[in-house]
Amino acid sequence: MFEDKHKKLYKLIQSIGFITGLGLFFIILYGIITSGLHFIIKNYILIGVVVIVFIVLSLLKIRVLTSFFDGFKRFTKIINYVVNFVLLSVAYVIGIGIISVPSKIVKKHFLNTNKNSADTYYINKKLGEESLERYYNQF
Amino acid sequence: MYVLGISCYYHDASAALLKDGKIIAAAEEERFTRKKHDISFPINAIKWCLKHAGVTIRDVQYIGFYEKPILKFERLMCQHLEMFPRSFRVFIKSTPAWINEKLRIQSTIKNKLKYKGPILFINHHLAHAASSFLVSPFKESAILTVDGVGEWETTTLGHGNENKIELKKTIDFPHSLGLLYSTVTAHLGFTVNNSEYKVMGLAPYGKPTYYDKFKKIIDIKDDGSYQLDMSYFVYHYKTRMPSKKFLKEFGPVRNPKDEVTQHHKDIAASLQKITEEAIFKMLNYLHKQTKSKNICLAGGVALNSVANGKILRSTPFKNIYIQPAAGDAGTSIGVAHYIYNTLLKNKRSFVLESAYLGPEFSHAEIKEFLNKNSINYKEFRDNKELISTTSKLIFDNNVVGWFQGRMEWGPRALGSRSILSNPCNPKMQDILNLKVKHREKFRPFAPVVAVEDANDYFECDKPIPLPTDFMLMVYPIKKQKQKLIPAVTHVDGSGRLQTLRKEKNPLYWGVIKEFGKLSGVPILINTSFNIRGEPIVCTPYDAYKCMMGTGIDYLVIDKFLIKREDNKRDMWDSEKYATD
Repeated sequence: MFEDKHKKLYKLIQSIGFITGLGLFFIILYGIITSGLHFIIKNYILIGVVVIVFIVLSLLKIRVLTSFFDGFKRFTKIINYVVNFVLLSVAYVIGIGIISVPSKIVKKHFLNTNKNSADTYYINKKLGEESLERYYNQF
Repeated sequence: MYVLGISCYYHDASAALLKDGKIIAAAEEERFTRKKHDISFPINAIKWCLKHAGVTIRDVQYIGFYEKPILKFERLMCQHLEMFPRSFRVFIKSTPAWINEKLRIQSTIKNKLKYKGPILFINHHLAHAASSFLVSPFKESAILTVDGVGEWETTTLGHGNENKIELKKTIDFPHSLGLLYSTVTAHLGFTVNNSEYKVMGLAPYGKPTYYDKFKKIIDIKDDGSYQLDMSYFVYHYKTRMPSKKFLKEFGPVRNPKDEVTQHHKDIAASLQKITEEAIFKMLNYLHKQTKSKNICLAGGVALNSVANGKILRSTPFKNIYIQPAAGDAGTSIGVAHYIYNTLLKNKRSFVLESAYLGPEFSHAEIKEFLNKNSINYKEFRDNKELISTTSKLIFDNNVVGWFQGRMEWGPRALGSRSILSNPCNPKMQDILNLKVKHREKFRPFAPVVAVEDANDYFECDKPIPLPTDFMLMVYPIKKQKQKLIPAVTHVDGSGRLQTLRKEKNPLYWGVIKEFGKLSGVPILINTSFNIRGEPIVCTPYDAYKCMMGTGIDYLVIDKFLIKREDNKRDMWDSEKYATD
């Protein structure tokens, strides 16, 4: 009832999917490096056909194909991570750093991390009737 | 009028559906996806809630979400601004989820549910407060919410009256009692947001020898307000929690595979002591401020049943209420009630007295499942036979899976999806661990007792508070009775009992009483129907799978009795899947 006899086979197909993703990535990368964007313009029909075939196959609920695309997806996740890493690193340095560094110089704090010796650590909440409209906001 | 409450994307995603001011369905997403503490959008729980009510999303007038995402994002940005450049890794790790999911919750709700009505965003701790007070039996009450962190707040003190809630005082991030508890949980080698209860269970084995060291970490004022010395923590800019200074003070982080030593037990005991001190001081202050005799608790810290059991003895409060899902899962109930009662100004008409709010399966559905899968079973003639056979099986030291009626709301199995066994057998703790649970030896099993018998065995508050029905109160077991129920007596002589009222679950009550006739002790071991690392079972399939892969001897499911030995054992290695 719960046994999966073909587990090893599906894992192998997943690996093939991963390697296919890796292969396609390097073919496109090589093409772009050697011919620039002309590579895409020249081969747009071929690229389009490959994309359509991939989309159609991914919609079919056949176990072998699902395993293949699982492996393929794993590769795209890595690419996604790399792209995110590069973009977010830039955002962190420029977006956060540019505000944080001057703030540190003028000793402006965004978080109460320093010890202080107040009589109480409670913060009084602003009370008052709140309208329904305020709850439509996410802030 | 239907109002849907949603909680997701942090931990324990859930959905709750309210009809004319009464919760008619509520469930955690993990039960459907089989991923423990699943945080994803609770699409399965929502679909089930609507199906159960026999309505579609078009019938839902309001949807409530359990926090204000932009406020929370603001807090995260403040953390990065304050801790630049040390927060780089956390920024890279957490930001994609915010951009792709958390800040898009409004469109996610609209697209995934095809919903066109209004969506309201309720502050996290307000949702916690509402999840307790608005479903409590009290017309007015003091309210305390304590958890890891919401948007900014980590602790709030307030007061509820009729259908209004006022949160008057707060303690804000990074100072958090919940995160202090989680830091020690991580330091002791357990998983954060999952195993805090293990630290609580470990505490009685130790002595609070590190109490003074904890006093250096957390400064607690007489009014219960507290401040953490943040040099002991790095959770505000790293993915781990204790700092090097913390490790210098308390030693290295325990490897989960290593043995739990006396040192770890003493740390747990010290943490529990300081936590209780903070909670009781806050409650005493809250009582002075509100003059209320009632207290409603919510937030993850309200799942600390050891502290809960001492509240009425250590504070001037006379009555206590905590709902079964006091952690983040419970906020879906909170937002639904806050919208209906507070924002739409409808009178309160519902008290959450029963945790049986989840999915159930009919006799025909279960029979079809059994027949379809060629499972060998016996069908009971009537409830009387079911009760007598089950109690006899338990009396004979069998481990029995118990699957009846609607699934429980909250993290505890309360007699719908439970494993029952004999508490009088001193070896039962080892048997259960060997056969099913594979859990740490220091963790005790919980007893269930009919409410009318509880005072004979336990030193409960009088009258027994409602949260005891939800296994949220730990009480001492009477000294002369401890030898009678060794399997549920913790090392300090306490027990995390569940009390049961007959009208809430007559079948379960019947088995306990019948077992009492056989053994002379009307108490059973009640532990959750799952293996370690998996959520509690939801469907007949989950229950059967769990039984066949473990050493559970019998499964009593609706009116059917399944013996494991009568069925073909499948390849399901529960030990392999058992995680923290």
